[in-house]
Amino acid sequence: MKVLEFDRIQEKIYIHEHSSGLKVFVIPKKGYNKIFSTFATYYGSINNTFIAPDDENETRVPDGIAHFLEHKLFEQEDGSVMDKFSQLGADSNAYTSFTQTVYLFSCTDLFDDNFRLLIDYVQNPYLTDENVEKEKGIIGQEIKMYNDNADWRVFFNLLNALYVNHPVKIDIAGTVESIAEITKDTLYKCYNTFYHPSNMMILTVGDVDHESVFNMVEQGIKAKNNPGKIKKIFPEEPPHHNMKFIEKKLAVAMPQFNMGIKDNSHVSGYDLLKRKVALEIILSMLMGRSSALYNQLYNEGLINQSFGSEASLEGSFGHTVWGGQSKDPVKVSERIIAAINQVQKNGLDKKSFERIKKAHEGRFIGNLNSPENISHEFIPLYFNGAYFFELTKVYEELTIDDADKIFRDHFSTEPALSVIWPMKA
Amino acid sequence: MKVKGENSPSVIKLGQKAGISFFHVKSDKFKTVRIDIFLLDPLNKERAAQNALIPYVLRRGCRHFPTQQELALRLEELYGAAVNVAVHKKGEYQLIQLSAGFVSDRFTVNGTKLFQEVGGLLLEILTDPVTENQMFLQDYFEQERENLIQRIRSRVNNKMYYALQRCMEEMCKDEPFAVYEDGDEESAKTLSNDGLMARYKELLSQNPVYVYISGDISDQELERFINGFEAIERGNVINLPVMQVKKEIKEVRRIEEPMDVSQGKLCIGFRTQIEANSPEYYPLVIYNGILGGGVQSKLFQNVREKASLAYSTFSSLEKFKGLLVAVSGIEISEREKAEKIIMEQFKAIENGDISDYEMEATKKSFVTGMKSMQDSQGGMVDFYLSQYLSGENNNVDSFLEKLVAVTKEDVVRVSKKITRDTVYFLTSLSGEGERRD
Repeated sequence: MKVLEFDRIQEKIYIHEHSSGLKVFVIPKKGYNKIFSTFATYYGSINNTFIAPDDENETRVPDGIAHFLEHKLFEQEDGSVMDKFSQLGADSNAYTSFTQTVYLFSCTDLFDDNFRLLIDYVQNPYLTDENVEKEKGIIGQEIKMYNDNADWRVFFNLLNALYVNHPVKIDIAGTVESIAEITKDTLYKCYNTFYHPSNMMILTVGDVDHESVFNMVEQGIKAKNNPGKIKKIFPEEPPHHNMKFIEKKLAVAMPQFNMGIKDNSHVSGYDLLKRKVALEIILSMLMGRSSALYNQLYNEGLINQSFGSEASLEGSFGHTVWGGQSKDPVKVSERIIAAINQVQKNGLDKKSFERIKKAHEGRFIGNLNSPENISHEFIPLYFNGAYFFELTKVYEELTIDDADKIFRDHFSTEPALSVIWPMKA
Repeated sequence: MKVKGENSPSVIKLGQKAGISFFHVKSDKFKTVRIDIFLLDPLNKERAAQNALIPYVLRRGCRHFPTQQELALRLEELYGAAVNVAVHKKGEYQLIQLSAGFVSDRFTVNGTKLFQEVGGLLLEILTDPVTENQMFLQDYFEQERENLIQRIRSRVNNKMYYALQRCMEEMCKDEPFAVYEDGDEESAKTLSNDGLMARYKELLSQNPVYVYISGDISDQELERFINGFEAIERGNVINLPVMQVKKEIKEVRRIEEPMDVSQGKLCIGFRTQIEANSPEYYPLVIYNGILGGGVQSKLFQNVREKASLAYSTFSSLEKFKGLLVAVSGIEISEREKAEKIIMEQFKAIENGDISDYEMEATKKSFVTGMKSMQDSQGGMVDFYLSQYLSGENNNVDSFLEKLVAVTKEDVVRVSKKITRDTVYFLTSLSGEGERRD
């Protein structure tokens, strides 16, 4: 067992490694009633092409299969595992992102029983032709719900504009047509490849005894050996954007837009944390609430409170995104591009950088109240070789020169624009 | 079932002066401090849009930080403190909220006292806006009125929430509850700057105010903050009217609203006839859990898991007005089938068809939910404010004890009072499942 302590933010992590290669983490939260526990695999919607460790040939699977598998894992031979969690008073759920599938529960009592159940069911899929078919109706409605959701559509259209080939541009749940191709056998193929403990992690956040958690893992994990690496295959992605502009109409009141830039750095570990923090500080400096640009656009009625920005970095892809509602997204886009060009000439302002860095650190600390937030941030960063709490070190070390270098590298590409226009009544 | 939470933050009423009540949600387990100020007004068609505009105009600037940009700069210096405004409705009350969240002083350097700084700033935003000729700055007024109109129009963006709200509005179309929390577009368009200032002064002088301070704050600091409110000139404080919950339903109304969507949203609205301060409220909460509150519920099990008709299917209880709505996102062609299955679930409870599992799992999910809520400062504030408004004044433990004591017979008894009022369907323009493109 290992302990990592982060004094500045008053947090620590207990770490244990199982012989299969599975990593297990406990983040203690003294005085909290709720315990939030997750069992995650480093497998998400983008992993549609791979070579399994025991295979020589490449496998290509239908879009949406990681998410489909997430739904199906809840079904066990003796009924739905959600019902068992309910009986134990826990809330259970799961989600699939681009890069991970995460199974979770939260409880306030009977933690041990719930935790054993989590470990057990994720290791025991029960798939039949009938239960696979049945799920297609439910997921079909989930897909349709997202088709009507303008926030989701404007974002995926942007990804489509940013990426030429990378599967991050494909909807996480796939399409009604792609999920129609999913069978029991393809699901098992994916499960057997990606749900080996060596490709997974377990994290518990709450007021629990870490030794007891590690013991339960030792008793509960069936696989003993690490089978070796899975080869995840991605198509070659050129550095340039796929399109400059993409548009669509939906039943919304006002136009919605997203702009973004693809990040071609493919960094991991501490460098990834550093770059992500730097990009988010730069976005705040360029177009955050205290920036001249934000306030000019707001005062002219071109943007409103819905405007926001973020940076997202993963091993095989990365991007910055910003947007909101606007009566004239094209004009906003021109103004933002002009402002970026201006900063390219003048450089970043040191005083703003220090002030905004301090503000971002404050918000980072504030978010540590929530076990869900911690889990949500911790898991993808761990899979990318970094610890979430190391952000505290980044805030200490990051300099204006680092930020300036990252700014010049990332913002050298002109951003792409995605717009959802209102349907005329 | 263990209901006592050992780690409950305690909620202490610090006092009440001239209709302003102060509470301290005391706990040192959080890394942040929160201040929430709520101004309450009876929901009213004439005033709703005006009330909804005021906090957004206030948020634009105050005496020492007269522009949004200066405010933003100041908040960044204060370790990224956030000041937010919002408008809500609880039953037939409209709530104007100003809140601040920031890191606890143990994370600041050089002994910065954030509570004092941010608390003072929030109070200044509430009481000392930027004015010109005794009115709000014309630019701020006009820009925020435009934003308000856009916010009201943008209701349609979230289809599920929109359908649920519209169903309840149709149910209560001749009652104050039908007023949207941000008011309506026509009223928003006719607002004037001088009218807004008059309303702002009224609100500050005569409406009930609730202030919650959450976090690890010393008594001296609390006292100093509370004393700051004495500068507000208070007149006679209005009483909030009792809400009308009971209503006889003669026939079920059917409403269809076409929109350019690919998925339909079916909402079946019921009147429960049960007030928030009635002993029957607790069986009603369990009833709602059994019908559509989570994975153990009849809607989830039957509409989703058995019939594969929906991904989202749940029921929602409006506590103060006693409304219950069953909501499902479905294929447009499956409407009749879905409605039939939903009504069967409703009948099943009435007939006492409730398994021990459904009963126990529902109760446990409330115990877990309420205990977990004590790990969230915002969750605690919302719970205690709702308790205060219903006149029940439970703490978390006494609330849970009442829920856990509910029997199957209690649930069946309240189910017989629940009557269907309105069936609302958000459908596509063609009435078929394909959106035009």
